[in-house]
Amino acid sequence: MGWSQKIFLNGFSPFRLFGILTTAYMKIRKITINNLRNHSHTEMEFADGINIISGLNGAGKTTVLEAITICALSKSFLAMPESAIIKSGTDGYYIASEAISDLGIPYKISVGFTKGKRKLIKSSLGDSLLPKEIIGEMPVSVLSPDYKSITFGSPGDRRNFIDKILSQVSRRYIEEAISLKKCLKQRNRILQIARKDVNFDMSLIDPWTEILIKTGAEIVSRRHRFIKEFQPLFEKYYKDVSGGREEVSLTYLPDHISLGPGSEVADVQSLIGQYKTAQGEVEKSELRRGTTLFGPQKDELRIDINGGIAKEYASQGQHKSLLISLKSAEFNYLFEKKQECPIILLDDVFSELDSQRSAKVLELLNSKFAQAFVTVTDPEKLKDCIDSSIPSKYFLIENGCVVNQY
Amino acid sequence: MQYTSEAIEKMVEIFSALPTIGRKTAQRLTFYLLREPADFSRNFADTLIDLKEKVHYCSKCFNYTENDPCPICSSAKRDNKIICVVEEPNDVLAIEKTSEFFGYYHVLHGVLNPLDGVTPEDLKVKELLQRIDHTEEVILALNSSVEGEATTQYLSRLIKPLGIKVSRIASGIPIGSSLEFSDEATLSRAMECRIAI
Ligand SMILES: Nc1ncnc2c1ncn2[C@@H]1O[C@H](COP(=O)(O)OP(=O)(O)O)[C@@H](O)[C@H]1O
Ligand SMILES: [Mg+2]
Ligand SMILES: [Zn+2]
Repeated sequence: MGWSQKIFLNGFSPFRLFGILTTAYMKIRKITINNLRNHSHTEMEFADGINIISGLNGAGKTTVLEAITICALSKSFLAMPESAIIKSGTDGYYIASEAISDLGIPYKISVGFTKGKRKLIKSSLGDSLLPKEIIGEMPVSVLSPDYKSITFGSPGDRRNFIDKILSQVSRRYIEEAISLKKCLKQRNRILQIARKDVNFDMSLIDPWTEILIKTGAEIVSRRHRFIKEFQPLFEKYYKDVSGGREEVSLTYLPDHISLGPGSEVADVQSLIGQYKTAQGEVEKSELRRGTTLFGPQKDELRIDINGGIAKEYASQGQHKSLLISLKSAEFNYLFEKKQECPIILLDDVFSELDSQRSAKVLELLNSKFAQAFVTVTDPEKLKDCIDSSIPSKYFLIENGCVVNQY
Repeated sequence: MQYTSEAIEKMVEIFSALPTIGRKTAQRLTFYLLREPADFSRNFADTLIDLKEKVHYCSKCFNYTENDPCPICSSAKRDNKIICVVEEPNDVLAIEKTSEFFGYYHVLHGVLNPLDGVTPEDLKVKELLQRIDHTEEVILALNSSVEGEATTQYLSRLIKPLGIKVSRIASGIPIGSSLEFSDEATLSRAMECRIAI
């Protein structure tokens, strides 16, 4: 059975008919990578299905995935300063890719970054774009061992996980998050000034407090709604991956806010009220310490397994299962919310997983007809696991160059 | 870089000190001036000097003007009960172009920005408070940046207790654009700021 027939029979019509939304697919056809890490100039043409990128450690496989996320999210999925990923000895990187939607509409995007300059983003939507104008145009879902930090790491890593998903779904969310960041910087600055100056006019703090509270409430209400929708997906995938042996749950714990049990939506006005109370409580300490002590920058997402906090309770294997379930849920959340199939990026995932967990990840690859990019050290192991009806392409990378493809 | 003339070097320096102009553009402009007839440069230089000598702030609204008060402030046709507060002189031009606003303006020359050290004393805030006793409404038309927003909050807290109506400009869908093609953030804000009919 052909690729498109299969999509159709599975109920995912590749067309948007009569304005009725059905799932859209975006496929990356081509990428050009200039001066990114060990790649000087790489051009690749991709298959619409699964692209397997193999090579030794340090060959430059992950870099290809980074280039794709730079096109999709305006920056690499690895948290790194921009200057560290520019090929050493050069001034800047340039990535360009061409994608096409299932309607045949092309989408071109290029991102260039030169040391000491503003990032230059161009796409079919226009020249000189801001990151927020391209994030979400080409949704991606990345699974990498690097994301262990979601279950292992600090609350900030988990907030990051939520923010990355919501940013791809809602431009309003990106704007609120940017405002929050700017407002916190300004507010902390003014608290520092106030701390040192006995005659300081305290009314100068109020406008920043007001913005923090308003923006904070918008963010919390959206995070809360997100977790409510995300949780059932996560639980379902965890059961699937683990064979249903363990109980897991997600609890959103916004700082200084109590959300009524079971409430589906958090009313922004009530959140604002709670923040105002919180601000009264922390006011003195804020002035003493010269920093903001309440707000969504302190939220936590608690992941429980068998009644204990995952960070402390989970075994190595359970951490892996949690990560796969979180990421599978992310993929499906984006799929449903955007009515668009995210591009899947798997970085060196299979070397870390046992066969049972690998099978679950492969299921995801084989089921939704998403375009996928997979890096592996040994492509042979993967070959037999991929549905032969899915168009696939293999690339062998050495020293930042594609040396073989078939 | 080594130029064949000190004058060229100086000109390039000056041009590249301007915002958005890099060294390359500065060079292009300099060589352009050299190619043009001498009249052009003379005119250019005179205009430059006039600009700084003749233009100053209007003592009422702090927009740029050659005559004090400025043409807007001295117009008898305008409604002295309404003052529209903007960040920069540019914003006055933008609102004037609409031909729909007939009150007076007040230019703040910036917005609050603790990180850049901008406090109310650096803005024309005191001057605003001094001129609004007979005003009925103050419209805050600042940009929607976080800093613009904070300044809006700050000013409204100062002005409201004086019994003056304070309003702000709405943010929403541009006229003539269809809902379908509005960006989602704008649409969601417009929803939030909906008005009863
Ligand atoms: N800024 C840089 N300039 C040049 N080479 C770099 C830079 N950053 C990393 N590298 C090199 O590029 C390679 C990175 O490749 P990577 O894509 O992570 O490899 P793989 O995923 O195949 O193991 C490594 O060999 C690394 O040493
Ligand atoms: Mg790698
Ligand atoms: Zn004037």
